[in-house]
Amino acid sequence: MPGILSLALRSAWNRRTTLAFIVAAMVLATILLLSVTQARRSLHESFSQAVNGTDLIVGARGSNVQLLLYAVFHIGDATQNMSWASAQKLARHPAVAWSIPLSLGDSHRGFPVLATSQAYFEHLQVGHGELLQFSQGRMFNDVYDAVIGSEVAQRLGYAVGQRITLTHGAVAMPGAAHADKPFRVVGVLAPTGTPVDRTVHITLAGMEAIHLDWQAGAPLPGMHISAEAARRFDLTPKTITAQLLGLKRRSDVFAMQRAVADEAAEPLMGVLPGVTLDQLWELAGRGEQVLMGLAWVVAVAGIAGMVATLLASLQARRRELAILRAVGAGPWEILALLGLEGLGVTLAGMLLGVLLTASLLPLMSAWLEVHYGISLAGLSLDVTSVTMLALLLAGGVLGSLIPGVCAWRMSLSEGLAPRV
Amino acid sequence: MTEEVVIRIEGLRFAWPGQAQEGGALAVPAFSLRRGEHTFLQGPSGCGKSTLLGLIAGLQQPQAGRIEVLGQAPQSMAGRDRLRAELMGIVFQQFNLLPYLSVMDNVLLAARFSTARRLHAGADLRAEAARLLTRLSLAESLWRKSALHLSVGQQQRVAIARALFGRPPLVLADEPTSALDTANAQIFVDMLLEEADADGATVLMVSHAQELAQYFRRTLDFASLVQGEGGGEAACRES
Ligand SMILES: Nc1ncnc2c1ncn2[C@@H]1O[C@H](COP(=O)(O)OP(=O)(O)O)[C@@H](O)[C@H]1O
Ligand SMILES: [Mg+2]
Repeated sequence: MPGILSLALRSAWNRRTTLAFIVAAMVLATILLLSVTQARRSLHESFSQAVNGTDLIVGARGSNVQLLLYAVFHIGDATQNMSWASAQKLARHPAVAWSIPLSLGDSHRGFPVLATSQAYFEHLQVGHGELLQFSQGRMFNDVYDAVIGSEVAQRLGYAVGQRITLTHGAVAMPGAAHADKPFRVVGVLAPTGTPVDRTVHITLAGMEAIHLDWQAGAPLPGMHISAEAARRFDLTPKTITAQLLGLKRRSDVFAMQRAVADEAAEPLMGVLPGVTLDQLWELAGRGEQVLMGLAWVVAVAGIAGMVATLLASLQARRRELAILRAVGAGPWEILALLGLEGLGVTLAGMLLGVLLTASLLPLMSAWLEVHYGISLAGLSLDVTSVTMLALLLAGGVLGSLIPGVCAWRMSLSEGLAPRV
Repeated sequence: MTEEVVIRIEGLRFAWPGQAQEGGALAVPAFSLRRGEHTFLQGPSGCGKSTLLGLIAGLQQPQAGRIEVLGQAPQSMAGRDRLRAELMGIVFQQFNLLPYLSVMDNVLLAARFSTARRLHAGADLRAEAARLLTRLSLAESLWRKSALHLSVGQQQRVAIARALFGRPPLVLADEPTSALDTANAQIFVDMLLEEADADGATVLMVSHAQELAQYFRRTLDFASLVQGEGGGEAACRES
């Protein structure tokens, strides 16, 4: 048998171009299967880490998922605003331990600007219940102070002291800059792996100040209030986008949800982040299934391609097999020769696939981080991934047995020299 | 010595699947090959020469009768494969060499599936292969080359080296000169018989080419050997 192994290797090397394509197909199948599961797992983890400590997200009545995506992840369409008065009222509710107001809408060079209060730094939990840490500077204080996430700092090369101007809306439009009221970076947050990393944080007053001379999304003609003059105005916000609530007792969450819904002043809703995430995954589930199905189709096609190629090569290799039979190789060794080739090709493809996935995930993660503020964990071979790899290997082994058995049967029916 | 008989066939009957009904079955009532008695078996194409060699080599099992090689007639496929690996060298008409191995490794292939052949080749397998290749006038510069770079005449000589490597007692040659011109065919047969004698191997060669008969001590007409049934018999007798 060791004789057959080295022969199999040399024979395979002789046909490396053909085999390389089979390996490539297996690599592709492995990458697809692995990255779909890994991305799925990491996405779920990363999303739930961003809303870990929050009990309720309050906003104008509408779609749960939309509110969660917009308020926490700054993804998707803007929701209706809620009034500051209602937010204040809910914040004073006896069941509420803390509340964080969120006001969105502006951006800085593609990064979302979030106006909030100091409570954000005192209560928002990221990852496994940790509070936000500063890697530089301090939290905001002045109207024109800004605190930036780690990703913002890194990508734009900002440090404390940097002056920045904000842009109205999510995308930069000419004439939509709040250039007259520059902000100053006073703090840089440590990386969290959540949307916080790519957010520019300012005070609610700051948000109010830059929109004093604006109305309905455009500067009021003929009106200009300078940055200093703006300080003399009442900078209490009239509306905010949403509000995060932390409760004293988790068990009060449904009662609180009802209290929010019963708020008479305006139609509001309280959203449970965990439940809403489940709804989101249910929505995304179909897409995930399609991707997973596609990955399996590629896997099956890869194995079928391997079987077809090996079977086709069998015809061309009849002389080779006849020579080996003549020097004493038995039918089982002929089966092994073909089977080992299939197995080797499968294993090589899978190994390369795993390595490539491991090096592709960080790239994918970087891309997601830039565009959605979501980071993926590195490759971890969890139960699902290992099961899938095992299934793929089993498919490859079974697949390589087909040409192996064909060669075995052929060698039994073949005479001294192949009849070609 | 009882081992004087290299091949002994008695009452052999064999038909390929589906062949029996058409009357093309092969039947050899008796045949024997003594040590040193190089034999040329001549007969037209299609009357079963390759089939007979395949049976002797143990690739197929006869439906009736007995084939002994040096007194052994294993019943199992594995036993016959081992017997072939240990006792026989085989030369085909053409394409005897694996293209992905060097000339040298093609010769060494003979020892890959047999410990006996390795032992008989001596301590240094490469030296033994080199000796055979040199005797067969294959220059050292060719040894490392792929078999693909050799002329057909050279390839057939490498095939002789492999067939004789490890001193097997029997060499089966199936139309080994068909792909060669007359001059090369003559060189081939000369070398085959000379080296076989030097290494103590007995050659059984089958071919349709009558002119090769002159080199052999013993020549047999395939027709006189076989008892074909119906069409098979007629085809072989006609020539
Ligand atoms: N592997 C095989 N399977 C089925 N029939 C075969 C096989 N090899 C040879 N035959 C048949 O056996 C007969 C004899 O063939 P063969 O032994 O090759 O003749 P020869 O070598 O004398 O030309 C032919 O009719 C051929 O079709
Ligand atoms: Mg023939």
